[in-house]
Amino acid sequence: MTDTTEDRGNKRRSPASKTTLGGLVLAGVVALYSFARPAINERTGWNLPSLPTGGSVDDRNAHPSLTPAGTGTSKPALATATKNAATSKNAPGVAAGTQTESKSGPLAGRVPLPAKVTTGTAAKRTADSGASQASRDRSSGANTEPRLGESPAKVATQDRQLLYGILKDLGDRRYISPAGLLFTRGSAEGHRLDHLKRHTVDDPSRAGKHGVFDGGMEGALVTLDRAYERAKTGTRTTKELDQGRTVYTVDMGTRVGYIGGRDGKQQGNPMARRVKIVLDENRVITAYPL
Amino acid sequence: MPPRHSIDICPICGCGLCGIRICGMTDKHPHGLIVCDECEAIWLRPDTTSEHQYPDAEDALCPICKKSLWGPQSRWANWDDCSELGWLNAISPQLDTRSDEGSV
Repeated sequence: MTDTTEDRGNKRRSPASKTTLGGLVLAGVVALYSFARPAINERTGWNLPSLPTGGSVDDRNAHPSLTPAGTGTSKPALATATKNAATSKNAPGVAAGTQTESKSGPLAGRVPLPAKVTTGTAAKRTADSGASQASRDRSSGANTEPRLGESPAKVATQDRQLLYGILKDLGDRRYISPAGLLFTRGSAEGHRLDHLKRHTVDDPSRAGKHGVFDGGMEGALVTLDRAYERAKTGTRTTKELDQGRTVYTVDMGTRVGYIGGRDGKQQGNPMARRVKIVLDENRVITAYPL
Repeated sequence: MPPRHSIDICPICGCGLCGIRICGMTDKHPHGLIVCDECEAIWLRPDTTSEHQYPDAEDALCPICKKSLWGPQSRWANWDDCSELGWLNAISPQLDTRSDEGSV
């Protein structure tokens, strides 16, 4: 049988070889390709190129126990050919981006391959395989890569653990914000967060003004944290101290909510761009827009 | 759960209602407090120009009986409570809550 590239293109490929076109290439089966290549060449008339991996893997006599490709074709071999076709154009008809399924073959059972693989280019498959592995590692908690910070997956997990996506649970019903605001039990509602929640909805029957944050609890907490950051630096902030309590009035420069309550209703619920924060040290007593 | 009857807007935080609260009901020794429902400033007299104080942030106690400020022996005073306390004249009617539903 002639093993020239010119002849190979004129040969009629067997059905068995068609079923394996575009098979998966994995880096670890390069050697197996070399094992099967002579048998495939003999049966199909293809001239699958050798890999530049040294004479030992290209020597068919070095592995006499390897089953010849008489009952099927070698998926790893053709998959490797796909890789080569994409680069050398020496294997026309071996198209990348196809899907193939190998159920039998001389190397079946010898190489731990997935039963069904959607293929793309060799490089893409390699990248996808790496990404999938990384994803599996992250989901299993394995730390496979050195990181300066935490992986996105881990951060996302922590975000789900944060109350309202922002508050870290310190235990004993104590929560702290990124800026350092502490929410504890207290108030007529039982917890400062429950009191703050009152300021995420209007109370039109309430006498006087009732500040309402935009964005529900999440929005209120983010606004409050921004306001506290500004307060700590004194940015457009007035500060009053009284018996251990600190009262900040922070101009946020943009809308953070509106004025509700009876007075707010009478005034058409004007927008609020300031935040009042009453603290006991860093414990939030109350906070609301005004 | 705003106060049912208040005497003023809080001069400290600016938005709270200085509500009349009655405490000690279970002890048969009722006493009145003025409590801001936002910043929790407390006055012992129905006069927000008098001296005020603050309870503990996490364990607020009545400054008179030392029981929980928000416990079952304490509530926002209704009209009869205010009458019993003799504080009816301190009420600012425009600050009254129009519905008593949900009040504590």
